[in-house]
Amino acid sequence: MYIHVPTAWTAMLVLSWAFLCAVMFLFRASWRWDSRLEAALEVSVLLCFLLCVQGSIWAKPTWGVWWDWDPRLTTTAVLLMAFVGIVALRHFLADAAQRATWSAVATIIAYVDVPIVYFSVKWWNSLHQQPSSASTISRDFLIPLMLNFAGMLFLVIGLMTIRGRTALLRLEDEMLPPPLPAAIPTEVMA
Amino acid sequence: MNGIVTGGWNFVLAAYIVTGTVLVAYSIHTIRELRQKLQIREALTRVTKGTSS
Repeated sequence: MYIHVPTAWTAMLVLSWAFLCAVMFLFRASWRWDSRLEAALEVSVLLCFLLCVQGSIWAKPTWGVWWDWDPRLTTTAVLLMAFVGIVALRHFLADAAQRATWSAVATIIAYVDVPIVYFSVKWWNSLHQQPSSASTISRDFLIPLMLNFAGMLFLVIGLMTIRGRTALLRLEDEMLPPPLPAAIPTEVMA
Repeated sequence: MNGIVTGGWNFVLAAYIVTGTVLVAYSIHTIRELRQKLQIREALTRVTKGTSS
């Protein structure tokens, strides 16, 4: 619980940030928003993957199975696959403008699954427990839970900042004219 | 039966180890990628300045 719930909360925030970056890119057409989107997409995939693995580890002792096609698990798996697809799409497209626009549109479409994941336990009969909140958790449990959430959130913000900077540098390299072959040092070529 | 699952600490440990390993591996990869990009950028800037002067 102390690791799965903070991962889920952080994943929801990062996915919402990815959605915001996609909308902002389409409105502003700024490469900064595209680089932020690239970082958020990659971290989203990482967190959704961790969610599925942690959930599976939790399911075995409580439900007796590693995986069940329960609404919460199925919608999370769909979310993971959708975002893996968007990251793959970004790798396949060579043209920067096309890559940014297509991935922004795909992110907005895929984000539709996020509220479905959240409400899946309320809408359908699910093995998964109802969403936890501060009012449903004892104070003894809440403090370490919030500490873990804060730690994970700070780590993820740091990772997205670094990844976003790398994406922006790569974009700048793509936009600049290639340097003359004689100007490239041999150690860089190797 | 009181609805409380007891034991299963090996599963808890497994969840922490998997999460920690994935996050540390991704952090190292991300930092290395940025450092590599910055090194290439610095080398190219140095050479470009050298050829222009």
